[in-house]
Amino acid sequence: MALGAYSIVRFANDLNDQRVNLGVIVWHPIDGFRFRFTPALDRAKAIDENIRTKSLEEQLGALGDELKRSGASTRGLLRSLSDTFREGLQVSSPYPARMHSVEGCLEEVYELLVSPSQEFRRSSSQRVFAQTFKKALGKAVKKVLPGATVDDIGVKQLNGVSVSVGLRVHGEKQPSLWHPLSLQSKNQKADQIAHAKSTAMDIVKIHEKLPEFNTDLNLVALQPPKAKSSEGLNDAMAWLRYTADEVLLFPSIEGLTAGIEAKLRALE
Amino acid sequence: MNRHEVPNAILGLPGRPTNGGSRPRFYEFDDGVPRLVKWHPSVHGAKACYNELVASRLGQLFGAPILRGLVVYVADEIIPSDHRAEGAAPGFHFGVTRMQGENFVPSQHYQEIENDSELPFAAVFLAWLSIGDQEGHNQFLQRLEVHQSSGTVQRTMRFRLVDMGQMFGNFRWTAQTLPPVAAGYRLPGHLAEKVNWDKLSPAVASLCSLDEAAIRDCFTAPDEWSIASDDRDAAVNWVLERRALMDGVIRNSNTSIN
Repeated sequence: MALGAYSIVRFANDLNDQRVNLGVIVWHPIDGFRFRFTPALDRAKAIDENIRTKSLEEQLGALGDELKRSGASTRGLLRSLSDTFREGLQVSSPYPARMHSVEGCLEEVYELLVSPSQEFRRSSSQRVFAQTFKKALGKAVKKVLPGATVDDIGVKQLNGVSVSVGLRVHGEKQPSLWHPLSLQSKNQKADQIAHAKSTAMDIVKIHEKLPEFNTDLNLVALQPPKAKSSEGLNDAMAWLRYTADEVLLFPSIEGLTAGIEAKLRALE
Repeated sequence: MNRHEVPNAILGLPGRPTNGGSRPRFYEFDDGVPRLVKWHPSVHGAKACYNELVASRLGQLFGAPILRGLVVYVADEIIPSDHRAEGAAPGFHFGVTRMQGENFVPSQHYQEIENDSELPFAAVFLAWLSIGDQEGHNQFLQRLEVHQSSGTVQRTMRFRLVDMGQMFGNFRWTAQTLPPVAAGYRLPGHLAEKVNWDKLSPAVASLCSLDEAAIRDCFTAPDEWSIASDDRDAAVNWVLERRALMDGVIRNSNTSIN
């Protein structure tokens, strides 16, 4: 196990001496930095009702940009960030950590210190992932396939059945239908497989009932379940591969845009 | 002791228990279990961790409602600077599984717990080892949620004894300062109210039937803790002798028990 480190990103109200954890940053000596911030920044209002979440969002954005620019060799970065972020939004001094993988450690520490798993169960990750994916796809298409467009076809009713058609990329090149699917909040094997089957069935129905998309490639962008509850991942992948042209795995949001761009280039 | 015989800490956590006088800290371990680490040597006294370890083992052996604690290893490179500033040091320490639950409120929780049948064992255990600092605190309500693969959730609420640092009523006993073996022991008032001799007698009989060698085995400790063999032998003999005297130990100090 490699010896890395992690820091907690938190909002602190020095006046009433309360703190709320908003995210974690993990550093691995080979894989570099990974970070995860809660989308629920309004939790800071619990300790300071005057805090502007927009301002927190901007600071976290700046923090994220700095981390993305930094490689594994910048091991002192956590220390330097903890010196810089000291008022309001804080980065804690680095805590040493032995880890099997940077993603596994990030997930574990995030769940332990920022957001317990129950929260994931209450709010599905699908909507968040679908929205994030849509934005990333738009950006990537603009960059890699200028002139092509992205249409959110959404849900179509076919003989009383709702079929999610997905996001269509079309232009001069091979058209494609993208189906974002997140299993991150699904902890039960049966749930994971059921959601994969549902997307697989959408693709079957698209082939059967929507001839206008017959020449489109069907690509599934899959955010896998959390590592410790990924029991159903193989079965879920098998179902998706059975009907989709390709299944692309996106374990972290950070790699989303680059992954989509690479696939779009391959389609050219 | 080889550090790889025991769980090794992989990362320290920022939180700390409120009013943790011995400055324990939470660590995640390489077996996937988060534990509260109590440092040896403890600021409370040279035997504090040893007491916790021995009492935990004896508790398991006897069937008392107590969490399993064990020797753990915390390497130098894992200790965060703020833990170090409070006395954390590398080496073998005592670790106990982090417990999910809350303070035990007798008026509220006795009617909710599912392990009533373990209360006589708790009482006999405390009296057997003459555990100090148990009146008014150091009992805990453990809430467990086990998520089955079928999707069902099994919830349990159990009475638990915690903090055995004052075995023999003392953090720093030696062979010379052990209390008289027949010394009485006053049970926490609320616990004494919940037991009677119909329930205590079988627990005392169970204690007397424990295998002597198994009891002796509970007193081993890492060499690094430097527990003097004279002290260990005296402690073993003390608990072996005392179990035969439990009836008087409890009766004389808890006259309200019928």
